[in-house]
Amino acid sequence: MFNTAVSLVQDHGIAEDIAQEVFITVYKSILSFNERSSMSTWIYRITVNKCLDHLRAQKRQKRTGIFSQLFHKDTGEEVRGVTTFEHPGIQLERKENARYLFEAINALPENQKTVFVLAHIEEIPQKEIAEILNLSVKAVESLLQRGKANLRKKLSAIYDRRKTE
Amino acid sequence: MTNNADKEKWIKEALDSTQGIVRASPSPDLFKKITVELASRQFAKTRPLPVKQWAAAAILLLALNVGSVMYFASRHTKISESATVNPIAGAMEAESTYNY
Repeated sequence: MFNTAVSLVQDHGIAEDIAQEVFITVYKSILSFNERSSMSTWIYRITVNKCLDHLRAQKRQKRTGIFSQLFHKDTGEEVRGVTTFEHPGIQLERKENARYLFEAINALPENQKTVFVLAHIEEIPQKEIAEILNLSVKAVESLLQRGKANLRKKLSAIYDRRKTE
Repeated sequence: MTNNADKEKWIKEALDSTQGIVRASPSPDLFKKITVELASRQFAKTRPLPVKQWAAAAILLLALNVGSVMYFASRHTKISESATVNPIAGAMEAESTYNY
């Protein structure tokens, strides 16, 4: 649950808060859990929903203030447009490339990002992803293909940017 | 051409950079934080009324209802008794006045 959260929100502290909320939600609603899906699918669904809620709230917050996009709320430091997230589970020799990959993942549309993270980072089979997101397997397949195509485009732009830096 | 090939190679490497990824784990005190949070939320919950108090309240309510029914029933009997005596007395009085 923590691994999914950290890959989606790309922040260690926020991922811990989300993991805590997920645990409490599971504890409170365990009696209402119907066994139509497996327990892990149910927990993944709660985690993904909480992460997406957080990302939407973050997006709304960014839209409300012009300066909040340019300067950090607490420190007043300039906020860089590029994410510098490093997933703690990435092998050392791949860390730099992975940082650019996560930057590109972060720029994907919400549904493509979720499907890509679940498929390639969590390594969940497409059938289970479909159950988690209440989608058909075909829809998951299509989202994954579009996500990969978009990632290629974004990585290509990052490559060009790196060349000019 | 070489530039494009380099770019494609780099994109492939970036896409494959999650291979062999190890699951990220939270800080060791997260579980402790969760248990503390759960305990505080449970403490804040309202305590339901105990069964003994519910039973006492129900018995009291029943006793009050029975008492009030008995009171009204006895009052109704007294009123009906006086209502049957009074018309006779009136008639007797009227008759005696006429005869006198």
